[in-house]
Amino acid sequence: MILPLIIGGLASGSVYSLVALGLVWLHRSYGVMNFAHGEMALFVTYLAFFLVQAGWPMPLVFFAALLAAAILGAGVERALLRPFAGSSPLSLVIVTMGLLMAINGLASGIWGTLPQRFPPSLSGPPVRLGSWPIQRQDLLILGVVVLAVVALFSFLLFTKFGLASRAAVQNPWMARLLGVSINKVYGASWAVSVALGALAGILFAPKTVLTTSMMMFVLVKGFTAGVLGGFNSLPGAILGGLFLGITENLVAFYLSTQWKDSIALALIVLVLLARPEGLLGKKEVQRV
Amino acid sequence: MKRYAPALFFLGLSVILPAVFGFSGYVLYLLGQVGINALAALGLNILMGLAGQVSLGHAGFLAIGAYTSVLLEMRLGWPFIPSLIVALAVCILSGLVLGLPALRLSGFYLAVVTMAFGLVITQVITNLDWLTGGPHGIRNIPAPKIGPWTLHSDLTVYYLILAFLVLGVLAYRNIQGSRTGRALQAVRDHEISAQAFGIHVAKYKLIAFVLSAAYAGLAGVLYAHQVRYINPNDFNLFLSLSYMAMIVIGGLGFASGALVGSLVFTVLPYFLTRLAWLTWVIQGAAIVAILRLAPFGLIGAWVRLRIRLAKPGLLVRRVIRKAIRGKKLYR
Repeated sequence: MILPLIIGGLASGSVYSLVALGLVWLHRSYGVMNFAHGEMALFVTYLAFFLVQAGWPMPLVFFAALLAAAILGAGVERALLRPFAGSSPLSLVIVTMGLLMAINGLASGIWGTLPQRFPPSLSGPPVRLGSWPIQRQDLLILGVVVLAVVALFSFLLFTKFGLASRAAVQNPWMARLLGVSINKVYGASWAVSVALGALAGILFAPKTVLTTSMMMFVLVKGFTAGVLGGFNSLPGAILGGLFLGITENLVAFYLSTQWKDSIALALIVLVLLARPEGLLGKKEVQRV
Repeated sequence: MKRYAPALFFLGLSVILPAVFGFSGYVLYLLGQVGINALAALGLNILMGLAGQVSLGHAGFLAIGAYTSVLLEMRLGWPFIPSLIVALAVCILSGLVLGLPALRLSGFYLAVVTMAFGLVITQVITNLDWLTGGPHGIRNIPAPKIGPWTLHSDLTVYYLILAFLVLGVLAYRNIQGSRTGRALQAVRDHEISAQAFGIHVAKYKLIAFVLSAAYAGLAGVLYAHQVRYINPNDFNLFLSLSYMAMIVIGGLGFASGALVGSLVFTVLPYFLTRLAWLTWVIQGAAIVAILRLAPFGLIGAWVRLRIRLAKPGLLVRRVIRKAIRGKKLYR
């Protein structure tokens, strides 16, 4: 019985991982905790829903949504965040909270607050693994997430622009002196981050119902996953998400569905008490 | 006396304001909400503005305060004041409990732990439906009874809120200027230096958590008795986020910042539009705009403006300097 639980947990956990990856990457490269991450993803998910209803084939919908997310991310950075360059991290956080409210309002204005059914990207009866049924959507999620993670890491590790991004994270001034166009890097970071979030939204929507409050919940999970893994580590974000997803599923099955969120969150607080910098995070040493 | 003139003016204004609007129940409700939000924002301002600790679980304390007092009154038949005191005590205890992990965590980690706290509180209240009515909430909360008087009318409840708000502001100002307040600000500005100066960092962080929890608990009790209906969703993450936005918009660390932020946040939506979604859009845009134009909040902008006005020379010099800079002659 435990294997399907773990696979189901891995599926929702990898969605949390995607959200956490976007958040952590943006935090590392841009120094901002993006509270609007979930709502930006929500907006794109609604866009995808609109396209699905218009009869577009699923792969095309994915492609268009990711493109829209990247444009949205880069646009928001250029129009809203860049004017605040040099302000305190707290005011940047509040800007993203303003964005959260505005986008949420906009989404409910355009698409209404009634819950919608987002059709599963892969329909059909559950696949059988031995004697255990596994949802096709879960398999799709796992596959797409693995693909996205491999793509992200090869972009960061093996391309010139990825190298420039990593350099900019380590030392923006030095990177600039060496000819890295820092504004392009920032724009790209936002584009990638929002695209990851949107991917999570589109993959997750069929597992629940599409409402304007859906992503708030996923965002909280993403935050938790990121913190659990260590907020300055990308592998940590992935590990944290998977750990959270599996824990939740096990708690829901063996203890109680009602209390699963509370127990999962309590467990995470315990982990943080033992390791305040997260599972894979590095301790930040302050110079006096 | 001159120092207190603005404060007294605004106090007088808030006393007579209901009469100006002909004691309309709607205006009384709105003004009461401003006061309640201001109390909660004051509490968060101690924690974030003075001590520099981020909290996204502030609404959780409001929920604890509201539910404790209401349950004591409705299940056990306690009067208002004792249940208020017990509710505050419970809030203070939970502030201590939440403060303990905060001693080891900082920044975003703390933000997430406090957020988890807020979510867990609402979920606990929702799940304990035999006690709290679950997601349906609690209806028909009795009017607060103080000694021989029962505060039936909206007007008396408004004055009750106002009285607590005045107490809250006075306490805030006193804490801010006291040894404790200065220690909190030292912890905010540089934890290691503060420690080197002999400030017990852990102790003061706990004090900040406890104080902010007490303010929030008070606000929660008043909320329950003004609206007369509570449900767990009233105290969601959005509320915690709004408190944070309120003090940043009003001015971090200023007592008046919490008041102005609460006023802007509570009253503005009612003037803007009747469409809920448009309200959110405008409010979000307003936050970004205010931060862009006044980085230290509205009160910060006001203080800077007053300094400019008090020393006209500064303003003139600035204008000249700007003019020169325009002609590339500066420096």
